Amino acid sequence: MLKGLLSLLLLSLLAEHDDYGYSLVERLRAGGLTDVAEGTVYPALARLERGGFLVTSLVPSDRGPARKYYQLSTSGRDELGVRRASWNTLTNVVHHFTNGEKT
Amino acid sequence: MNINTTDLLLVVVAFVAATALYAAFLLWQRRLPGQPFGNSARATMYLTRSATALEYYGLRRKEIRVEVDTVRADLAAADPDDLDAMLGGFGPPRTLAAAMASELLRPSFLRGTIWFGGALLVSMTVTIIGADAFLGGFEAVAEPGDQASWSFAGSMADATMGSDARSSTISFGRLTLLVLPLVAFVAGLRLWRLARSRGRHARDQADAYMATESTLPPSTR
Repeated sequence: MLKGLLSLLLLSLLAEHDDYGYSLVERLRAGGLTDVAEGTVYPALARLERGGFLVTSLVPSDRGPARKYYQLSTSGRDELGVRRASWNTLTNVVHHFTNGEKT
Repeated sequence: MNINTTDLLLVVVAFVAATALYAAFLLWQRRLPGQPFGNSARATMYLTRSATALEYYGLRRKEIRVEVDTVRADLAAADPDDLDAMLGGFGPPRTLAAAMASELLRPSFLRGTIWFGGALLVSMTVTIIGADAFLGGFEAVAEPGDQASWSFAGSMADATMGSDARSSTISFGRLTLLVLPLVAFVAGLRLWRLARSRGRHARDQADAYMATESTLPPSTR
């Protein structure tokens, strides 16, 4: 997977609704990233949280300790916009070259 | 410091027994409420190893607790049949910790202690093996009343052959002085980390900046 793409996907998923780590893993898998590993997603969430793009809250669980739910912060929403824009630019460039349109 | 070899063996046995008891206590104390005992034990061992690895990479206790509790809560709520696959998905604890720590190798209390303690252990082991070989040789050839001594890197072994048995002592001598720099290292590192914690906010900002830079596509930098 391209560097930075996972962070974009996580920010996009969290823009839909708040969620916890394992649920995000399952949503990514359900969306087609069948081989995405927990060991990749959780560190990415930790980095985004440390970067101030996510805020967290503990929600009691009936199956054990309280779960940490992630939510986009204001800077997280801004970051998502920036990353979406850069991703669109990148895909346009790749599409341009891979479809033989280059001059 | 004089240590009788029998006493040393007793100390080792007592240490192993105490460690085993403590490990059993930790498994019980940190069990996952939603999981059967086997799953809970595997998950707890994984989380303990992850916490150790995170400390190795220099995360502070509060940071470690946050990261471990996050994983722990999700493991506890997982379907018991899926737990092994989930643990496999997290990968080796050390790899997970390296990723969690953003691959920043901060100065670590644990890492320094492991290396220094390891060096001390190797030195003591070499001394004990050497002394044991010396005492074995002495016992094979000595006559009643004979005395002999052996020294290695400041440590000494003395042996006396009595009329019916051998008596011996092993002196670690200057080797024990290695403990003093270890204590100084631990105390100094604690003070250093205390002083650094005042600048935690600024450093976290820097970490965040680095993490962002390293994950953005090149075109946006």
